[in-house]
Amino acid sequence: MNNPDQTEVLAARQHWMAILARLPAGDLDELLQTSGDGHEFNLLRPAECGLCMVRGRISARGDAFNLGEVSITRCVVQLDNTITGVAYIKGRDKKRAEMAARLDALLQSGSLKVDSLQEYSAKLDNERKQRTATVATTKVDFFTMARDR
Amino acid sequence: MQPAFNDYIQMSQQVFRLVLQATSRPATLVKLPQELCIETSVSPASTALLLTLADQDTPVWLDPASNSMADYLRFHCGCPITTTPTEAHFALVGAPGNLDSLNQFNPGTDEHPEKSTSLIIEVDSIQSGRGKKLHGPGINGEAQVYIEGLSDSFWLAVADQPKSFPRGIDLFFCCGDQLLSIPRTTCLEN
Repeated sequence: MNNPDQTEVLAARQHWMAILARLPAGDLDELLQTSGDGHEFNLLRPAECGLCMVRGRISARGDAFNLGEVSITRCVVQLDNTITGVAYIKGRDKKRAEMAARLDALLQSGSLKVDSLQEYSAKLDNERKQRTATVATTKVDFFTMARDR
Repeated sequence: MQPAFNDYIQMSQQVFRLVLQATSRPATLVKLPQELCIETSVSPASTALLLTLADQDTPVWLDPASNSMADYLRFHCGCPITTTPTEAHFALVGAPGNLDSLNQFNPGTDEHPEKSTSLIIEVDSIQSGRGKKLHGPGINGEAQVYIEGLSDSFWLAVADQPKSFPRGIDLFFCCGDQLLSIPRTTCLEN
């Protein structure tokens, strides 16, 4: 696991899994259509929902505290009895988790090129930028004035 | 890799009920319904048993003959695979002929007898009605079982078990879709 080749492969996979986890069902379906049929998928672990505790630190410092629970759906498929595709997504959409897992397997096998995700990830980035911009307008900087004794 | 139960909650509860039936009526053959049988490198009965009972809190030990199950169990049950039999809560034995005592497993302590190892043994055939004579809780009078492929010294160790009660090893014998249990409370006449 520690040789440089493996690390690179892992990083690439982490990158596309993160994109797949965020894409809406429509986009995932589109990607599956383009990567062509003729593949056989086995459900190793059918999509299942669970809870996950999200922890945080204020300003990335301080002690970790429990922020709250989110629902998580995970799924594992096997492509043509060899490659295992895994997906963990936020929410309870089992169909989406299964599609993301299938795409993860297809990307690993090379039947689907990573480049074909470009357009979709750009869309995600854009949405994120817009959202942060909207939120940023509501930012308040607190400061404390030194009080007289 | 093979899949596990497709409806994990329902199916593992059904298996759990069957395991209860097997342990509360020792020496009775319990048959797994077809839909609970999953094909792996060991018998459907052992597979169902482990899928139902093993989880992240129960280390599992595998003998060399059943070692091919390591990845499968790690994936589906999330259980740690241990190389030390005394640490194991469950031990899967694929080559029962090599088993000549129960000493290598954990019998629990007088304070915590439930911490013992449960032994899941793959055998070639099980027949109830003839063979070893058993009596004890859950058996009306006397029962007989014939289990193939186990050494005499193994049976001596089983016969010795009631002496150290409440410590002891619970035994599950698996053959295809059949399951039979000899818990530590059962006395064996040699």
